[in-house]
Amino acid sequence: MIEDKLLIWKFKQGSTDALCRIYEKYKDKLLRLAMSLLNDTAAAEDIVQDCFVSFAQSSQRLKVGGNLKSYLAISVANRVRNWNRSRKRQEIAGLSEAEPIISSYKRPEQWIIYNEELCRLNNALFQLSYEQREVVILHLHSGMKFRAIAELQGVSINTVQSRYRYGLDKLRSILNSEAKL
Amino acid sequence: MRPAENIEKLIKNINIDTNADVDKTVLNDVLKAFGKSKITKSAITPPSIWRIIIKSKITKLAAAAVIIIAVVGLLIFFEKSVTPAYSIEQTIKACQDARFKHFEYFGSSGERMKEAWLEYDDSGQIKNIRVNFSKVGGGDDVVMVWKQGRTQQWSKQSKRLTLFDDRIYTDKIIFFVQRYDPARAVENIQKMEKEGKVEINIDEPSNKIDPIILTAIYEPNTFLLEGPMPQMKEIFFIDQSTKLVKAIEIYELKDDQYLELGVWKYPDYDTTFDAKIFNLEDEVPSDVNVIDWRALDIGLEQGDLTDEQVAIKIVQEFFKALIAKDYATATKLLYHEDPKEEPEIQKKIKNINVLRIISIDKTFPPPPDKSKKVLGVSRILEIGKDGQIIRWEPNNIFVSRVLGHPNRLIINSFKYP
Repeated sequence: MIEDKLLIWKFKQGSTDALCRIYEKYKDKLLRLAMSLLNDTAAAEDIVQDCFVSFAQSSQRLKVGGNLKSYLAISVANRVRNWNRSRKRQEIAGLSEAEPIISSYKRPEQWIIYNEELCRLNNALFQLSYEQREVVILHLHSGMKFRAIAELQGVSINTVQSRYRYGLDKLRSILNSEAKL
Repeated sequence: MRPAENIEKLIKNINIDTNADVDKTVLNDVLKAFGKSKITKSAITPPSIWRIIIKSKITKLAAAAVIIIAVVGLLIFFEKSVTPAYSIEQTIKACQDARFKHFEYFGSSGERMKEAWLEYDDSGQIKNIRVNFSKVGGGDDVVMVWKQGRTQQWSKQSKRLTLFDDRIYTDKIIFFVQRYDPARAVENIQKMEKEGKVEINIDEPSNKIDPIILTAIYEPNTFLLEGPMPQMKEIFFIDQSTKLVKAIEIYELKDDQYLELGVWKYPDYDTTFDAKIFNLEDEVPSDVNVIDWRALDIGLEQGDLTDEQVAIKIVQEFFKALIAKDYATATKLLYHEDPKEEPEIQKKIKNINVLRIISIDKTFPPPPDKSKKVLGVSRILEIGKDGQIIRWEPNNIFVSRVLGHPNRLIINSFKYP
């Protein structure tokens, strides 16, 4: 926490080393967060890269109220929401169903390297609703408080807590049934 | 697997591996952005009009007075307005007469995402369609030309021209035309209104300049795509003198508010196109890679099997081929568009050392980011990796139909271990 405050202060003073340290410290966590929310590797990579680029551009006007980890996590979560919205826009705009082979566009090199644990957990997470998934991941993985998640989702803290509870129950049942296979 | 109570620990601790080269590339981009932002002096944003208004009591009162006057004015205006004389049939007739249609789609932030040209024959049947897509999925600009069931698709940056005949694709094209060709769109909402799926409101202005506004509000899940959809709204802007549709704005209901998704615009009607617009052969560069799906020999014939049975069979055949080290057969069962990709695929699958199939006997529905036309297949295998025998059971193999070959299926998504 103190390290983060110092890093932010140095970053605002124009320190490249501080930015590199922030990047190294949080890139994996943010990629993991974006992957869990999206289950789309290419989009998750783009969102995290975009998040860091705009963070780098914001040094002069940056105001981190709480901790840096939550600040970056919210930034990724908001971008994921925008991405979901824009994808929906493209679908609704028509002919999305008529683009079956366009989606085969391949990226030259991937940032995230898949591992089985990630795959399995993501498959389970994707059986939750988006709101439940967001609460579970932001709370457990990004360490965000329920109050902050409630603000992000625009709902009451009680709703967030029940989403968390139901989400975990469902995950338990999914992973338990997998275990019995 | 793991005990249930460890779930929180599992989520907290799960890590991700990243490609070190890409790490460096991304960091370089971040540092470049940082460097630029240090050079650029931050501009002082002038205060917005709204801020000026709310800062002072006097301006607040003045603004409130202006709003009240405007509302009263509007009420008087609406009271004086006459009963609508416009009817939807006028627009259907006006738009139907055009044999050539040209329209463009803009996203809510103003970027042009699609441009379409349609040509009908003398009997009113669709003859030719061209659609230009901008940066599909953040990747290529794509041009699609459809002529009586045959499709050409040119991915500009990938320099790839794909040819295929596909009935399902043709159905989607016709559906697209019916949605956004203005004559068909208006006919469609009129039909849906009779079925109780759409509510239509028409506002005809008293002056002769402003457009007629036709608002269609759809019941949830009646709009466009398969799968659940929120309540949608479309606003048609209709020219008063010609009765032609000039634009259709599209909205979705979210948190009790309509969010604008984009707008279709119709800049011209019945302007004859150059016939070349529907002939990509003359337009694509000579070095483009032509891929003819009609001639591709990939996938597995479905025969009399159900979708679930054939999905399981294709995955079984794939892993049996790997065990037998028959990489040519295995490659034929994996999605690829270009025969030139086969040596590379074979090189990759040779690294998968499958020792034994424990079970491949179940299918599962696709995750949300995949089309509903695909089916997942669960399997448990034993593979040799780093000198050890390990159990491998990821749920990430998906099967779908081969484009243009409706009776064939193929593994279209597969992550290497």
